[in-house]
Amino acid sequence: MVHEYEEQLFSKIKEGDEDAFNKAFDLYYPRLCFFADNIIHDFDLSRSVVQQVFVDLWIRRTNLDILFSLKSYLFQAVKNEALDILKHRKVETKYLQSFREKDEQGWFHDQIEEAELNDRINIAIQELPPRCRDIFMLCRFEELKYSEIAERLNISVKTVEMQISIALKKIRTKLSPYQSVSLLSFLFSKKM
Amino acid sequence: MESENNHFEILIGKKLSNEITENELTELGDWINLDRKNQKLFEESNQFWQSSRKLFSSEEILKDKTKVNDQIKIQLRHKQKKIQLLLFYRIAAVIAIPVFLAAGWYAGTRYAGSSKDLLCEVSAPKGQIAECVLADGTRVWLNTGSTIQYNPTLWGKNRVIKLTGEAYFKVTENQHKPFIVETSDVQVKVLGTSFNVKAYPDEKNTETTLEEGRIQLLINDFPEQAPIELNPGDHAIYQTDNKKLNIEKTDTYLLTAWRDGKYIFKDADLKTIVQQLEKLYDVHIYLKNKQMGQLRFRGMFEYNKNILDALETIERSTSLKYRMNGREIWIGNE
Repeated sequence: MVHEYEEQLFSKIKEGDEDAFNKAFDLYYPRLCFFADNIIHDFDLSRSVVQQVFVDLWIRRTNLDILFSLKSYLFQAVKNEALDILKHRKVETKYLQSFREKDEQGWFHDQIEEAELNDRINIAIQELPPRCRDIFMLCRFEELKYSEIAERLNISVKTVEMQISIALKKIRTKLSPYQSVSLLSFLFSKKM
Repeated sequence: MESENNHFEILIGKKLSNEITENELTELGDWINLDRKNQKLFEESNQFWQSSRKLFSSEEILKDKTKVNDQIKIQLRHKQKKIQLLLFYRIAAVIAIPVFLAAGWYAGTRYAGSSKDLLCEVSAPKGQIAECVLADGTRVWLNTGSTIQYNPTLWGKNRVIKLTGEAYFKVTENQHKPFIVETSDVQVKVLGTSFNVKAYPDEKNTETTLEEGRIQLLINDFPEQAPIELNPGDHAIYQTDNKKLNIEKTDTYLLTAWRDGKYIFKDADLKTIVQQLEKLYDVHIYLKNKQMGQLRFRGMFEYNKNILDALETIERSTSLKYRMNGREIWIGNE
């Protein structure tokens, strides 16, 4: 189902359908940014790399022959750019070499999964109730201590504790449809 | 049960955010080991905690989307320009005409009359440029289909040259013997200078472009009128049909580069280019409609090779098609 939709997206893009292009952007842009960031560890640079890949996609759309899917084309294109950036950072050649030696297909696959998880988490965080989200962000992204958060927001440490636990629960619930097969089988075995 | 779960949820949160105490950690560890379900709960929380490094807000994403769409517009515009330029460089490469160097001078020189009355004639055939050096050292470049005639035995007072078509002169300075270029409509009198005169019989205008030095322009329709002085960079256009003279400043290279085998078009329309091609290759080109002639190009081109390449290049860069039958060419939409 998803695959069919994707195929349609790409053929529509080839025909010059701007809506389809914008849909593809909404669908893949954030996770591609996370994917690039997981490799080059520079989120702003990742954003511009992915933006360029989308610009190229539209400009060269009639010349593109996508063998697999739009998704794999996009991830492949971003991967190439990201590895190129690494290559130009002499300091990281060692890192580059180390994953050259790794199973590259497997690595690529894992990276895509990780990026998709990042994307889902990102959506889940944004869907938290505003106050809960603010507290979670201060804690996770700004790495403030509970006491610092409490002071900044003029609330009690207990409230911070509670809100963090709510955030954890809500995010986990949002992610649960994507839970790994192993977890599913675990639950089934438990029920039986 | 609910509150107990909340309690451990809080402990998980504390563990992940490094707020947990020794005692709480032991308590959490025991709880995790108690049940695989608890373990799963902790692992899931831990996994997404580690996987969330930053928030990528939908506002930022939207901003990036706008950026991408803007960038596409810019690049497409840029690409179009590049195609136009490329087109012109291509034409440049394909329509350059072979340049006759000094050979043109010998090949085209004919002697007429007696040896005393020595009339020299140099022409550049259609599709070729000729360059020659006159007896006084003056260098002349003749554009395609142009002819100069002169009689050096009569050069006592003035160095007189008759021009049909277009030529560029680099006149050897001689204060005592002015150099005069005569065309059917104007006369150009010089002492020593570089200039271009374009006086094709089939064109309405006679154009004089001064690159260096000073020249005087005499219009044959107004023999009483004092000669008009031109300064470097002046481009004088005499309209023979309504007898009007216009002088404007110009980038002279645009008008004189033909002698280097380059035709430089600045904002030229298809009509102008077609006229040039007709002149160069001695062909007739018909445009299907007048608007087509207004199609504008930018850039510069030098020409080379043959007209077919030129036409094909026009085809490639526009949606136009050509049809050729002998020396007649039609350019249309299909």
